[in-house]
Amino acid sequence: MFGRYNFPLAIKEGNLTLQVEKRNGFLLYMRDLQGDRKEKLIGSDINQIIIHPIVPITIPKQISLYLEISFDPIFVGPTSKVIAYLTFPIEIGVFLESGSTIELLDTFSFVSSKYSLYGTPKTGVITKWYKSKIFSDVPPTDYRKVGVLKLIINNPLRDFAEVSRAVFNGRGMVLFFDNRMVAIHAQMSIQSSLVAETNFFETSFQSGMEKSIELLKAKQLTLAGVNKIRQLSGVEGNKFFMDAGYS
Amino acid sequence: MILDTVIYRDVTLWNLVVVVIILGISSIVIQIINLNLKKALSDKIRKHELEVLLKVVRYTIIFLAVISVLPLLSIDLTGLLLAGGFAGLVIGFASQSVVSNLISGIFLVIERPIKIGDEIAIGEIEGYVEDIRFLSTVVRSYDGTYIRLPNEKVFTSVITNYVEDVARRILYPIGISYRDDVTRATGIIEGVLASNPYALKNPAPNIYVDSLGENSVNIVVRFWTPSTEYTGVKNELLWRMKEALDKAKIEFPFPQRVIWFKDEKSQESISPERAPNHEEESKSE
Repeated sequence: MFGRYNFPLAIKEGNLTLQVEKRNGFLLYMRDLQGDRKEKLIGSDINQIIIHPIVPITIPKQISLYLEISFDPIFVGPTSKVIAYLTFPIEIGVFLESGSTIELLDTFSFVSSKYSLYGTPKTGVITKWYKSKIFSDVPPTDYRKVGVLKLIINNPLRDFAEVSRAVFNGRGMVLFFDNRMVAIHAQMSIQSSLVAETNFFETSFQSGMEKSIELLKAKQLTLAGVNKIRQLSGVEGNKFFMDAGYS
Repeated sequence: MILDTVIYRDVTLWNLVVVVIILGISSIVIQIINLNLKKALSDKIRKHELEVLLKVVRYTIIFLAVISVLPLLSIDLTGLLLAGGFAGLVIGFASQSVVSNLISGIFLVIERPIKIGDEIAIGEIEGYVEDIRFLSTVVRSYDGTYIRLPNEKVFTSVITNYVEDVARRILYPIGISYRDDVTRATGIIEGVLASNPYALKNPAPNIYVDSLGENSVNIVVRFWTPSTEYTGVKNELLWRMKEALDKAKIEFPFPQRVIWFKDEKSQESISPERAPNHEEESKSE
């Protein structure tokens, strides 16, 4: 499904139909995904249409740059490193290519969206939220719906750390894909009992994958939360506990 | 001493040196203040307004410096000060509100309770902030009306900024019939919230029975949503919940009264349709 296409174009996969055809001297783009339809007229000359997986932050509306992946808590030992595999929702971007210019035409996703608040209403951020299972090896996935995120969790501290979610900034998120899988290679560096830093590798964790078009350029790293063992009862670390009392 | 050399009248070379030093220091002060103002305000106010402010600061300092060195040059300011004082008094009274608005505008820029584009309420005026100027703030009300508010009024009014925080809470009271299953109803409401992307996962929604009313079991639904989506979500989700509860045949009762008469025959004929239990009881009697 991902790749470059010439005209006319007609794709049908499951509930998705995607077509580009000549109509009245223009190109007409039509997409239908489970009743969610979009039509756009393309007036100018374009080389090709590119369909790539993109950072999952544009649907239903781009109101956040952050992706929050929640998963079952995992304990990371003192001064140790753990490699875990998570899944994340992907969005599919349809791009127009004209000369050296690439323009986003449409985005859609097979996965329903959910937003969440990370932190407090005052100081926190809205995140695109997703619940993932945690795997020790690359899990099988439907590459049109979810990708695989290889996360290297590095705990340089002298205490165990309990990690149950990770927040990633869409800026700097680099997706890779082939005809079987969409992938992200990231690491989480635990800096204290309350703060961890996440960032992305510029290469995929599997060879032979193509780099996807970047919607947002890398600008900054972001923080993700970790929970420390041996904390007060009911307190999951101050960073997360900030939410309490706002329900 | 060469510095004691008289140039004209009582003005010596030393006086001229002092004048040059004072003017030089003033120039440095202007540079420092302007540099800091640029750093502090460049992203808070528009460029041309910043330039006006910098000019006002520059000329004020130059004016004060010149006034302070004139006595050293044997220039008598008594007459000038008298005239200036009178003029200042007149101008002061005339421009009282202007200065008040200007100072309020500066404090609004520094404190930043509102920003351009924010959805706000200032006193009884609600809408979106279109512009924040030195003397006034422009608000576009929900019905599209252009409203210019003097900054003094803005600064001294109660300001509610609906989008200052990233998330806001929505509360719905929903009354269902006593005959309906509350657990089932709350499950349906939870389902509606779960299927909407803007009903935030965290903080988790809170659904509970708030009170047992005269006519209904009163359920309260509380959940959070991104501030930018508040109005749309609030308008949409209550209707979605109503539709879902209707589909599950959960009833929203009207206010009702069960009236009992002493006459047993009347009881049978007047018993309300919506209280079948009473009706059955009265028939069995």
